[in-house]
Amino acid sequence: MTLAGVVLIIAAVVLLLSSVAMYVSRGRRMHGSWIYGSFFGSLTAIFLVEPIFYAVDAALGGVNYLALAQRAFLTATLLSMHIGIWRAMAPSQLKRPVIFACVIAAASYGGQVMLFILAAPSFSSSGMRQYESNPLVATYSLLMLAHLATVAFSAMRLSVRYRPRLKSLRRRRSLAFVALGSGFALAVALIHATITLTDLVGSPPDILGTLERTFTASAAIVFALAIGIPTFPRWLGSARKDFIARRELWNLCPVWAKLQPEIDQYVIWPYRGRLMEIMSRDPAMRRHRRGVEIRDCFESDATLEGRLSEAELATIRTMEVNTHA
Amino acid sequence: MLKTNPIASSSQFAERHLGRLGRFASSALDRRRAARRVSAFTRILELPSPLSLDKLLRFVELVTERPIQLSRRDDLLDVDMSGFWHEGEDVNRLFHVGDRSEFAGEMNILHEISHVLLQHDPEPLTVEELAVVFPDLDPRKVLHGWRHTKLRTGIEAEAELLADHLYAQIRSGKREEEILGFGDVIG
Repeated sequence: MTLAGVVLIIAAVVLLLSSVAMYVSRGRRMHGSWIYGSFFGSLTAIFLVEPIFYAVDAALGGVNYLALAQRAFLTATLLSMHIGIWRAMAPSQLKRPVIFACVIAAASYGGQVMLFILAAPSFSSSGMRQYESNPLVATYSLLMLAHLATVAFSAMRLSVRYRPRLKSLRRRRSLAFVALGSGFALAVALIHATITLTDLVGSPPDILGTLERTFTASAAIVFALAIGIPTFPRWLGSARKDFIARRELWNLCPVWAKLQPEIDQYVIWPYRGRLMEIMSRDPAMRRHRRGVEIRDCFESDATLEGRLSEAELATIRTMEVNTHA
Repeated sequence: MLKTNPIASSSQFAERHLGRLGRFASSALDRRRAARRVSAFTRILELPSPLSLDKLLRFVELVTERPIQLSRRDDLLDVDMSGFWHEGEDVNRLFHVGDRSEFAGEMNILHEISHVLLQHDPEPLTVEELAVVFPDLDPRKVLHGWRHTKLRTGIEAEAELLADHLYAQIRSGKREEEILGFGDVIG
């Protein structure tokens, strides 16, 4: 396996882990476009590794079905990133840019599928090979390259525009990597377009192929770093907060249960036992709610506080100090 | 009861925030529906960031077009209430119970503010009840009385859930760069 292949595998793993980390620690307002972009980006990167591509393709019958799937992954990555970039640049005027991104993605991928149906009307072995070697298909793939170049340019513009305005060093670094990765992606689009065009009139020099592989691997690893740098620390921070919230909720449950007959009138979310409480999707919010219910109970009947031990009252105070902190 | 709601009098606010959702029903709602409505409301509510209780009060003053005066009245508990909103001639007064815990006191204030933001219809309070605590107050101008024993009804659950959200926003102390919006996309 080549060095570029190893780099692509590392990038694919980082992107996959980043998408999972982003999903589990996503903020309430965070849009899914960057999560999907990272996920489809990892699939695109992994199938750019030739030994993996051929192994998976062989498992699918060895007739090049994976080529169509790979193009779909790249289109989905570009579409997600395109929408994500527009959300960052113009969050209040999203309708038109999103429609524009969807139209480009649909035209670039839909057109290739249409050409497949015209050039190779069957999903047989010969049909798929005909499709791959059809010069019309190669020419049409220039539209996908144009989409790649558009997204890369937008990402670079976004990074350059926002980087000076960010205070966090981690985020500034992340944006520097976005700008660098976008530069590599632009180079890939240009080189691939040159190869495609020279292929129509003659044979392209080998150096272009080597450069394309190098820049592709570089773009993938740099984007993986750009996404991973802010994602992993945030995920770790969020996991730590959730753990503390679950532990405090676990400690608070017996106190809550002790007051249950009086507390029932204030309950919004029914209590289904200690284990179900800590399994709550948002443990910090659930801990907060149970704390409020206990305080409501004390407000209506101050004598109830006297029923609790000093340790139990300390548990409530700890919860109040830590809630959402 | 007042015929007009202070938030509704700010047509710009109503158009921008509440008009898109429709009015929150004042009838009893199930808790999931209340949670869904509050969640939808918080997505379109453009609160100052980073948020503090003081900034939130200024925000409500802006949309109600009147200053807010906070008044702590522990004797509200005598009529089984934790707070209410009163619209005076020049000032809106927010009466709340000051608990021994700062946490609960703040939640009482946020609960009342949530009623106002959600444009809830006023809850009927008896003249007798109010006369016990506020003999000088015109009971027709009381909006949003929060009774301790009616928390499970739809509007009370909604106000409580929005108060939870506001409290979380205040305590999380969003960082400055997140105001740019870019933080929601990367990192």
